[in-house]
Amino acid sequence: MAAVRRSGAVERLRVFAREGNLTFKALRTSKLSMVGLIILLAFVVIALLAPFLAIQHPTYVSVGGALQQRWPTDTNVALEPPSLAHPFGTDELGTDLWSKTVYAAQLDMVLPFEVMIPSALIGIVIGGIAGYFEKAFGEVLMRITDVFLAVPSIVLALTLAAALGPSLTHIVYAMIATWWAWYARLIYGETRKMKHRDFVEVARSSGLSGPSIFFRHILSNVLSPAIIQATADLGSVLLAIAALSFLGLGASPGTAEWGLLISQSLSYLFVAWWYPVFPGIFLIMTSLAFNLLGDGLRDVFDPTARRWLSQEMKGLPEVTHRETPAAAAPGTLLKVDDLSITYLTYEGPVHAVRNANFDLKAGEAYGLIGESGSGKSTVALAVMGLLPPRSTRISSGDVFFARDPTRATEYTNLLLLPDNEMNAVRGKDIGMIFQEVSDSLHPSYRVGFQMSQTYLLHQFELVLGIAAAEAEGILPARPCDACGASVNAGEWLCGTCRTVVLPPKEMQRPLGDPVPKDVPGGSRGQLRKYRELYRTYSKRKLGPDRPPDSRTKAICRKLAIRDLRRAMVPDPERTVDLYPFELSGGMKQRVMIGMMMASNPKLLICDEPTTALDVVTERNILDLIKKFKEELGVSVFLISHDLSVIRRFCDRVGVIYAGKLVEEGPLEAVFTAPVHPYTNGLIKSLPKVRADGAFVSKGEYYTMPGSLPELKQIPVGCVFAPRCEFATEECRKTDPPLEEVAPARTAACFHPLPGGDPDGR
Amino acid sequence: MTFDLEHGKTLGIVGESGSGKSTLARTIARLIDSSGGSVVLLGTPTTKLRGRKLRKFRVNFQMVFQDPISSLNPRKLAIDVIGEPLKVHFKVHGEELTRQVTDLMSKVGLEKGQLYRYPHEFSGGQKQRLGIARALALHPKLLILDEPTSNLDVSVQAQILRLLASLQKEFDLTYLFISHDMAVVYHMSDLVMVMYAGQVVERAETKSLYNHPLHPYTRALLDIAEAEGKDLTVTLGGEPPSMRSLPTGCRFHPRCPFKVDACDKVDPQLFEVESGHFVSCHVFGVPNPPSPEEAPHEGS
Repeated sequence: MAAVRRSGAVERLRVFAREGNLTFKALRTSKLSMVGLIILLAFVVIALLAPFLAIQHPTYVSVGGALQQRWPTDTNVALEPPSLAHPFGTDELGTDLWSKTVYAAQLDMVLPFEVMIPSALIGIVIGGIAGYFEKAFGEVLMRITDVFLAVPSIVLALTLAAALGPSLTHIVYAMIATWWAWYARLIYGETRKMKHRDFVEVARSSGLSGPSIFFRHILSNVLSPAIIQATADLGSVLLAIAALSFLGLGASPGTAEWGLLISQSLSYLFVAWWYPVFPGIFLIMTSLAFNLLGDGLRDVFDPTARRWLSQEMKGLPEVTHRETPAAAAPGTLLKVDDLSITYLTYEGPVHAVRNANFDLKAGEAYGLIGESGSGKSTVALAVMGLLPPRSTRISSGDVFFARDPTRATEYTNLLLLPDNEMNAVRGKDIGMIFQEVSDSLHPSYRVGFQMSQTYLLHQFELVLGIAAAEAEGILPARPCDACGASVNAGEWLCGTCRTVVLPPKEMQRPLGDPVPKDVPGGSRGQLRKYRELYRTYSKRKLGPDRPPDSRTKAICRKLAIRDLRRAMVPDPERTVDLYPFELSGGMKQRVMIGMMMASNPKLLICDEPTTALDVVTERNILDLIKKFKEELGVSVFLISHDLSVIRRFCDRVGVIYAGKLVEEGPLEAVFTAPVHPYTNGLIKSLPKVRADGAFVSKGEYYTMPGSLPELKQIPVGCVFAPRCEFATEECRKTDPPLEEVAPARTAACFHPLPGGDPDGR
Repeated sequence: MTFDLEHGKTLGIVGESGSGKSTLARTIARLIDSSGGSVVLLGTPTTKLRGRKLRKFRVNFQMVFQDPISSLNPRKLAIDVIGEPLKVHFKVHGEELTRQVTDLMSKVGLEKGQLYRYPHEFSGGQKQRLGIARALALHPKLLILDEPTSNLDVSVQAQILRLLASLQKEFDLTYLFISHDMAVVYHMSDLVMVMYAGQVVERAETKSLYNHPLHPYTRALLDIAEAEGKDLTVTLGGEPPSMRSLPTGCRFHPRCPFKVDACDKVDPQLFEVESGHFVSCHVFGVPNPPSPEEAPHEGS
């Protein structure tokens, strides 16, 4: 039995070693923190080897119980410049400065820790207790902390030195007295955040007492920010100590301490430049090194974030992208061609998407079904050019997009587009809606303002066109171009179909024309100003940060209300002036959709657009997207793990499993008669209330065994084989290609199900 | 609200976010205090327990949370996650602890080799299995499952539901199963309670409720669950009200397609339409309720 216990300890040690190793690996790739670490280690070595490195050595005498350094003096060589005998020169008493600076490292490398460790400990205890017991007790503790925060350490040190006499010990006390409060504040905030996390609730519900929750669950999670902060602060502490020494409050005169050396050098600044320079360089280097290390630790310390930290990729071949697709079926809007995407992690590359091929036709809704980790969102992000550049590689393939609908056979490879052109594609040609509704809108701007940014960025010509037409007064009563209803004079928005109706062509004077004598409905100055504006902004090709004046503002607002109404937001006149936090999740998603549809994109990518919403709201949002698809002909690329979401309005669906497209076909065909065993399992796993009108019996749903594989290696054979009941030797050896199994239907399987389910599961 | 739950049965609670179903779960789990009324478990009024007594009594009821990621401490190994309640309540240590934890892990379908792993090394479904194993460690009588599968994938959801069903038999557990998915609740529950804006609008045995749902809200939810992509017979507009500004009368009336005059004036009470089937509605919560076709429609 002892063996079992030992094996537990061994296992723990092994975990510890593995985590330490990963931390070190992460630290090693953060170049700046490595520089910091190396400098610090160098100073530690200097401090340790000081007795060997130095030319002269101090003696220690006891003065009133405290040890003081005494250095050999030789006035014959006072204030000598750097030479071979004295590499850093000598001071006013002829003592070798190299020796003093080196010995000072002993003191100056230790002092920050003497301040920091007690400060951090006191701060963690007080801040933690105050944060955990928020009520009166915590309040009182924090107000006491605030008092300490308000006292500057210099003032406190001055007072202490005045009362007790200058000494390094007093400086350390004074520094601790003020620094702990910063950690108390930090830990207080962190603890309060942690307190409401689910795992703390879990601990409470399993009956842990307050103190054990604090020590077992909260402390370990708030400790790392404190350690990181403390490391970064060591540099500042060192500088503060030096500053206090400089003021003559610290080490007794003659002691080797960088701050003190600089202070003593002041009187000789103009005759001995070397005197302050070398201690100064040492001081700055150490303090900088502490800061660099602290910043590096910030990225390294989090075990969850570390997985996706980037690293330089070796051994991946360079990919050459093609300008045009080899072949594209007519009417294809988006063609994803042999796309493979690799994530770079510390544990090696992850082959998240492998050789994905699919087309999306203009006006079509294509649904990509996949479970989390299947790579479906990765595909969407690749199309949008939003993959994190440092931690991902497109390892093969292209994404072609028909930007100009009039020249449908001309394709742009989105992967080859430079950033600025891709910006124009995003939001204008392709809109995207994300799952996290609340993160998609900026919390501190009103809905209308955020929407106006879209108009000014992507529809600037339209806004300026309207503004110029309004200013020139060339908006007569005329029929709507789209629906034929009559539009009143002075109006530019059709009251019936809500399309923008610009003035008749012949009335839109070219911008270069001389300003007419009579400007109906406006002054010549106004018109000039508008032409000026139009020219400036069209030159910049980009809208300004804010609507330039009340007229454009009003136009944007009117357009925003129009688009909110199109997205069926109730009471758009009121909603346009609300902040996102005043809206429900469903309403925010409507605003997002309205905003994305404002520039009439050709393609709308929806990545789990309703996952965060309630079922009724989900249904309504899906119906809204369906409406846009049907009425405006926008193509939709819908990504979801939820089969019922995909089923609502997609024309064709693809099923992606572990980064590989395994089946594709028309929606109803795939749902009623899946061909790939994975698709079949997925559909049968979904619990149902009724089948063919009759109630299904309780517990009657299929359970697929196993789980998604990790993709650290490119799998050999069919990636689904380990979970597949039909898998044979062939499946485990060869990866089945995506082939046509029936008209318009493809599957990557050696044993496709004939017309779906063979055993009537 | 008032309801009883028999030993060994499952009560399913359906509702949208903000309907109060999670608040109810947390109140029963004694994570938040109720503002009135009482919860009696095994003859003990849990709402009256405080301090050490409450902590001791907590072995009888455990909770599984919706989000498997945030409900696990990222800095605890699997053995500590599951073993912690055992250490605290039963003072189990050393190899006995390892043995019991391994046992629990195999019960929920995890392997011994995963004892010394951090939560982030588990997949979403496995994380939820960890959470379930932890909740089971104390051999509770009642397990409160707050949307245990809504953050999971379809295939994983089926696995977890299957696991929960088999654990219920094996450990003779009573479940309070909360979900927004009518189909999932159908498969898990003996009794179903539909909540809207903090109130119970319908409560019945599963068969009875799914056979003839009466409240318009229940109907709408069921309609969506069974639609399979087709158009709905009744579309609900609007959104649930904010709990700070509740509508007068029936809380559902602003969205209800069957609204009558009384709806915005009088709050309907739960009425037993037939044995064990309770509905709170002015139109359908009456003796011999009309079928939806003959019910008075808005504007008619």
